[in-house]
Amino acid sequence: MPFEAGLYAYAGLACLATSMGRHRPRPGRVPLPHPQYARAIGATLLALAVLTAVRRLGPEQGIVAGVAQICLAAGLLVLLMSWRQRTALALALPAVALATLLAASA
Amino acid sequence: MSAAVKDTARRLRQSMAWIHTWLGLLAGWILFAMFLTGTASYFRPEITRWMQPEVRFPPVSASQAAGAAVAHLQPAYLGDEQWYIYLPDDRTGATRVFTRPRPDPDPKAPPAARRPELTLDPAKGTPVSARETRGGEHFYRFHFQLQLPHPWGRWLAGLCAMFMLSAIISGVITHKRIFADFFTLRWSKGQRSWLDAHNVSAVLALPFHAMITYTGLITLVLMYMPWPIMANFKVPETFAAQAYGRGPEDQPVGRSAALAPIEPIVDAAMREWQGARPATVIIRHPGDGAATVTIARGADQLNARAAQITYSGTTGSKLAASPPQGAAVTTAGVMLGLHMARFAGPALRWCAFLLGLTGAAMIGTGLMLWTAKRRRTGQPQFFGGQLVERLNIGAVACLPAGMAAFFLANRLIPSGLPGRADIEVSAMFWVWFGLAGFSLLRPVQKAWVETLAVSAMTFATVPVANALLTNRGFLASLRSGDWLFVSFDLAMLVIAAALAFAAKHAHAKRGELPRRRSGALSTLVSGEAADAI
Repeated sequence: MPFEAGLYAYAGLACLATSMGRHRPRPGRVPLPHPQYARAIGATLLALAVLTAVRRLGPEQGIVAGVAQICLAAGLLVLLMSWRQRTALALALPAVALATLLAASA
Repeated sequence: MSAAVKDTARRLRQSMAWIHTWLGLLAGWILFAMFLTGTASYFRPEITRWMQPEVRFPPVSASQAAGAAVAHLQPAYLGDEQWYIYLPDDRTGATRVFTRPRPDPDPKAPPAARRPELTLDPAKGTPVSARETRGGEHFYRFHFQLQLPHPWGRWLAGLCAMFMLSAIISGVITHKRIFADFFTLRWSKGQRSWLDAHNVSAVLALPFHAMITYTGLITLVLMYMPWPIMANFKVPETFAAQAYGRGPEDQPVGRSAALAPIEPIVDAAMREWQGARPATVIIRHPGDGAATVTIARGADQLNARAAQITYSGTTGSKLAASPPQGAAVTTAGVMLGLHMARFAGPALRWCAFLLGLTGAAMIGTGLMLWTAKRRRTGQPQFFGGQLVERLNIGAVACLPAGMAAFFLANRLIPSGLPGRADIEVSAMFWVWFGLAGFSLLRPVQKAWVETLAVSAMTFATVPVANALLTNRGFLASLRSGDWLFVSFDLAMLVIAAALAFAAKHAHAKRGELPRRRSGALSTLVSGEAADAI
């Protein structure tokens, strides 16, 4: 199932959230990137989300699928953050790993 | 920023907020129903298949299905003007055919009506006796015709779509903190929570909401705004011929000739489309010397306006292909394609389904916000407030029960009963409006809990009825790897769980509030308590 775009988007949006004062968790076991870097990493991952979708489905349907999965990933992230904020943000790491695995095997 | 500019911005925002509130409220209930049924329509063929459990065939190639269908039609309908064959694909699973008889030569006679549609076994071409149902077509038609006589339903749907588009634009202008509040969702904070939920469901899926509303409106634009064509084309057919490349329809020559085998024709079309599957075969004047076979391509591309190739019906040679589309026709086709998402594979279709639900959530939370905001001012519930509250219950909590009742009726009504398709549709509206009527007799807070609970239970009953009344229950489907039926049952259970969660939440809220009685909340609480008694 081509969900790697959504997984990259989830991680990217989680990075963007940690770059915002309101959502940045207090320092814990997982080291957090500096807000500025978090923003840059987040933007890169979002671009990667669209690129992987385009690579899989071609430019026309890829852009549609990429944008749709970014929207859904954002919804999922916000729902999880409102429930368990730290876990929701920490899930960004396995999301990137799984997305890379899926993209490589495609 | 100078004070004058700031003041203008503030006033603009205020007027936009006013537009957003009132357009959103007025169209909100109909839009909620349009979004929910439209979202279900992403699975139109799947719903139809679930509603005809008798129809179950292994997949066959397009040319084999076309050959079997022609073999069935040939003896009985050779003299008809046109045959329509909808080939099966991995979503529909069966061949559908109907024919149109030759028109009466008498010019005063009414135009010939099409014959009833038949469902055929894709491999053998024999008619299948399946229960009569509207299937997924019912939700699809309802979402833009609203069960009203033509053209009023489409006009009302278009008006609501206009309101929606205006509400989206005015909402974006009104929302001061789009990026600051991007990830903010706080629960159990009353009005604040409804605002958060409305903002989040709207902003996060904004590209989808804007796309689906605009493309929905554009789909029927030629009906809403016929004047440009009327002004430029004296005969509307000239427009169709110029835009879509449809030539004048050929007439039969009156000399009988055998129909060329259909299989090689279908294979030839597939070769031209690099293996893409054809969706429709239209045979004009079968059995006549001037017979033609037109093959239309399946929906595997963003552009919903499919390419067509016409072949001679007697020799099988290629006669014409649809000309390359102009920019305007391509744009219209892509917009329609984006709206219906027929090109989407399973993953993208589920994404679109979830985004559609987000749209329904946006409208629902917006409606709730309207009442939450006005209740908080502490005034006793005025008539308008009560009316909105009751309509919210009727739309948000009762429509799901109606939709589940449509599925349930499909399993409960005997499969041979005449007119059962209409009874299924009536079941949806009786349950929907009946439950809404019943909720009027209950205090508001209890009405929310009870209607949501009834909706949850109706959805939960669907898999049970399916297991008891067909041989395609959850376990049997799981064993035979019938993923459509497995997913359908699971979807029903997930929706039931979500509705039960909402009912529980509404119930908890009702019990919780009086305990929190304190100065600032007392007016609110007494209002709530008065409702609850």
